[in-house]
Amino acid sequence: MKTSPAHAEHYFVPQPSLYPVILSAGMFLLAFGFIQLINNFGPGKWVMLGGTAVILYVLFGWFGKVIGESQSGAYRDWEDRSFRYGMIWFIATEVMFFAAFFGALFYVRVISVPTLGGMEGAHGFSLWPEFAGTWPTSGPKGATFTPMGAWGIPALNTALLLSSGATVTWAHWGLLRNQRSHLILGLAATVLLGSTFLGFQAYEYHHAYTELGLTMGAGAYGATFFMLTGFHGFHVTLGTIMLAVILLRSLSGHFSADRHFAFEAVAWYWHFVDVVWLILFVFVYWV
Amino acid sequence: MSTATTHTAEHPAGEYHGGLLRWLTTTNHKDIGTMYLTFSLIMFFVGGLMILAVRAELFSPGLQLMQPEFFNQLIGVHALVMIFAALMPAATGFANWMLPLMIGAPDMALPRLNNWGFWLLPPAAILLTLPFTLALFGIGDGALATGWTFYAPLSVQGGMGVDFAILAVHILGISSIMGSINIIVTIFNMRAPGMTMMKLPLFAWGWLITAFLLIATLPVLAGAVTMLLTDRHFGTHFFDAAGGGDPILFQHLFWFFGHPEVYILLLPVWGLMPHVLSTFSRKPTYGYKAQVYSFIAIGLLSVVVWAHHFFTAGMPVPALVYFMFSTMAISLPLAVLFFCWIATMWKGAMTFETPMLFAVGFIVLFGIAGLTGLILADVAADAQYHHSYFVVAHFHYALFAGGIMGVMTGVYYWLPKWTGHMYSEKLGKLHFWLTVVSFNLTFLPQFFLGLAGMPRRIPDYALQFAEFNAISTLGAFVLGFSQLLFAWNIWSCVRGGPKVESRVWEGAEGLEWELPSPPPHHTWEIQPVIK
Amino acid sequence: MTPAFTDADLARRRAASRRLGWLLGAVVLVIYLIGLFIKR
Repeated sequence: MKTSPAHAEHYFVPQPSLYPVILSAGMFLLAFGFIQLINNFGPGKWVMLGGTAVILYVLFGWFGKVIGESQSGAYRDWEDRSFRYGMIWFIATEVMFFAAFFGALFYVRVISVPTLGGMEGAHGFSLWPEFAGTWPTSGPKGATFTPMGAWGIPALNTALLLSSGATVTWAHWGLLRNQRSHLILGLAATVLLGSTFLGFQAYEYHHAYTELGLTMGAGAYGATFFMLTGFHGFHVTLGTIMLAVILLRSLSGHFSADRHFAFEAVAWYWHFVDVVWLILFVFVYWV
Repeated sequence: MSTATTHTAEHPAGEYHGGLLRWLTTTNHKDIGTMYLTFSLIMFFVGGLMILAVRAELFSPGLQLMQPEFFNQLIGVHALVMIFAALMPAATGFANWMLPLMIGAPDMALPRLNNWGFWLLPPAAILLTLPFTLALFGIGDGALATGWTFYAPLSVQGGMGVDFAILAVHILGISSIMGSINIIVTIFNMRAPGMTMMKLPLFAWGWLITAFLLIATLPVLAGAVTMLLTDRHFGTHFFDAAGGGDPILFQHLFWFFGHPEVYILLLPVWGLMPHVLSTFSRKPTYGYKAQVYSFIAIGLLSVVVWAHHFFTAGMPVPALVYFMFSTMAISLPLAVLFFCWIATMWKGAMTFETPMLFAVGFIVLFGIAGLTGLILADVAADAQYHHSYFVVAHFHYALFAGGIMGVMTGVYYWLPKWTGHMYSEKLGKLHFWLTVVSFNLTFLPQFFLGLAGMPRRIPDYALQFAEFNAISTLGAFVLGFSQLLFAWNIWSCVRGGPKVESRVWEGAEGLEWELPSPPPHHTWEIQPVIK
Repeated sequence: MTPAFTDADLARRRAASRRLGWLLGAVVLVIYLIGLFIKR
């Protein structure tokens, strides 16, 4: 291995910044306040509020700074590649986060519920003779509830999310061809479809809690249903906010046909959320 | 590497703060690496003090110093502190300091994210230990008392210490994920021109696999503790059979993370070993490719063997057999690594400076960890060993002799590079011998205690275990206090000492040794080209 | 600082590590062979 000087390109190393440490302080307050709230001591709500304010301050400041750097041309191909790799592996962690909850769903459906229902055969006795061990269930001692059907709102929501995936790609084509109105129209449609999805989801939750008796406490079904759809809904919310930011940036003339990492990162995120929904629709609502 | 041309022009762009503000705001990989390593050393002593209290209680049968509840809290927080706040930050500190120097990169790829990754650690450490303090003021009943594994249903019923630990794990997880993303991006995107993946230093390869394991498994732990949180406070039934859930589901989710975590702690050390062994044997590393492929094989295998941690919890026989054989399969690539380490030393002109002593000590003692691991992997035998002191001894041979002593190898190896001073070789050797002897004095008796049937996580025990427990406690105190030598040696080396050259060790090879010691604030701003 | 080792010293160390390698290999082989004769 020999070395010689040749490569003259400079990588962009940002100035020292206070944002990371302030963000950590905000997250500490949020976590500590949350612990106080669920354990009934201290001014939990207010600590959480303070933490959220700090986090919001950092989000605006930090992203503002990054957008400023991007607009000033600090990022070239080398930095751009770093961001792309970074976003890909960040989405990979999100995939594994959902995998944990899907794993829990498959475990209860394939292993724990049938076992609880079928102890008689294997062990010659049954703790709960009246429990059939079929899905959906709230368990041997759970409350009665009506499971969520697949072909009402959920099917509609599937259509909404799939079309939003199409509109964001359509917007990308507009950006690549330098047709700004095409880009903005596509993004606006995507934000609209995302928000409509969230509205329907909120209605569905209301319906589940008030009319179906389907709550987080409704045994294994309620737990997996609400945690999976809930975390997915949270990600859709984040994605919609991110798309809205991209829309606003597009309106102020940001992004060019050859340099628009932020747009692509949000689009990737949106497609990821889309794919999670498809799996969710099949295994939580449908089969 | 024959010719050495270093390019270290001071970068005029940075407005560098002095004092505390420098550390709060820094985006420099060396500053962040220093913070990681300092934090790790401090938490090493915090976790160590906790376990010395535990060993003091175990010195003789009966309850002398503390109530069982407090004992349980100490062992759980000791483990979480040592794993998440001492060992993992030490490895990340190495990566921050050394990866850019070794691969010829101007800095880590995402410097602000890097700083955030570090500054998430202190809040998490505070969350972990705060319940102890709160309990003194009558709030809550102390830290989590479930052991570090959070097993349901104990953790579902536990006090608010469990909530603190859950949130701490979330924050630690975010920190590790950000660190891993940064390391992967740095290795993929910041290598010097001409440094192909198969010319990458083995330390970088070890860390690359570690980072992928963290990305694959930490989110699953986050999901598991989130389910625990909702089971505790929001009425879900993930781990409650009455609602159709299953406490064993928690064990599956936890160990899907927990087993790869062992390799997360060890792979950076395995990556660093060949560098040290080759330097002090004055010979090139033996079997570079074999080691790379072994790292990859171990990484892949480590995510499909998790259930060997709870063979006795109840599983169908085919599952038991599968997890037994897949676990044993890991010993094949691991044996390749051992072979390569030994072959690197064979026929070498070996000299025994402190890092080399630690490296050789590591090979011998970590070998014991591997062999006892094979015993535990056997389903039939495990029924006897499970949850006994045999397990405690086994994983301390893996994580102290493998992990911590590996980290010490790295610290002694690179400290002169970081500080520009040579540490005291005499104190270093004394530290090594005290550590090795007292480590074995502490943990070797625990194998026999376990074989004789002493269960772990118990503050009191039957009389026949008294002698070995007393020996173990004596060893633990010597071990704990010898580490003060380590801290003192580092401190005095940072403060001053004989100046060293850029190539600190005469047998050392690699880009990092072409830079001055200590390297200037910014290095490889103009990347070297590897031919 | 690494103490300077003379070439003769390094050569001696190379020979020593080669001998030790063979010795350890032989010990392992002997233990393995003994194991073949242990009946349970």
